[in-house]
Amino acid sequence: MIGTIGFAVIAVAILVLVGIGQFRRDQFASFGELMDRVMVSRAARITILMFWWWLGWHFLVARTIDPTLG
Amino acid sequence: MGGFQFYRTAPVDGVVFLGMAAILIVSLTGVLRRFDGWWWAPGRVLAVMALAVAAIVLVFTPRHGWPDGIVVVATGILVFIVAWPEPSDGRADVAGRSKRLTRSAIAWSCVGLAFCAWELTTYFLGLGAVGRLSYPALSDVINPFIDTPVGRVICVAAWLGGGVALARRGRRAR
Repeated sequence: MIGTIGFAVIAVAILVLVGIGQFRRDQFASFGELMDRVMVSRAARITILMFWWWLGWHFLVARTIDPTLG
Repeated sequence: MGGFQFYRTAPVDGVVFLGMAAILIVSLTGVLRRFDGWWWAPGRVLAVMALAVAAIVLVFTPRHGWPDGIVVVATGILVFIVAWPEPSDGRADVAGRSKRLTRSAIAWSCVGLAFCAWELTTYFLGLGAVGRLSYPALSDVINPFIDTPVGRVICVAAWLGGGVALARRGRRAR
C-alpha cells in the first residue's frame, strides 16, 4: 500500500509541475518548452528516445513483471 | 542503471541502458558527426503506415509474443533513424537558457530522480513475493490494467503517441 502511495505522490507532483508550466509561464517553462530545448542535443534526444523505447519493450514485450502478482 | 538491470536478471534492459551511456560518451567526442551527410530520412507516409501496423499488432496479438517483439524493435529503429540527424547550422551548440527554463529543468529533474529513488526503494523493500504485495514496483501496479483489452489499447496509444510527440519535438527543435 505504502509503495502505491509513493507513486501517487509523484504523479501529483507531475500534475503540479504541468499546472505551473501552464499558468506561470513567465516564471516557469512548460514541459514542452523544456523538451524543445533538451531535444536539440543529439545525445539527449537519442537517450530520451531510447528510454521511451525501453518502456514499450518493458511493458509490451519482456516478461519482467513478477508473475505472482499478475 | 544498466548494471542494476543486469542485477535483476533483465539483460536486454541492461544493454539498452548501457547503450544510452555509450552513445552519450561517444557523442561527446564529435565522432558521430561524420555520419550526418548520408543519413536517410523516412517519409511521412511510411511513418504513418508503420505506426498503423505497429498499433494493430500490439493491440491484437498476444502480449509478450514474438510479433510484439518484432514490432517494438522495428518501431525503435524507425524512430532512431528519424531522430538521429543533427542541425546543420550549429544550433545544438548555441541554444540558450533562461532562468525560467533552468527552474523548470531543476524541478522536473527532482521529480524524475524522486521517481527513480522510489522505484529502487520499493524494489529492495519488496524482494520476495510477499514483500512485493506491500511494496510493488510501478510495473506491478499497472500490469493488471495493461492485461485488460482497454488497458492494452491505452498503453499502446500512449507509447506510440509519446514516441511520435518526442520525435516531433526533436524535429521541431532542429
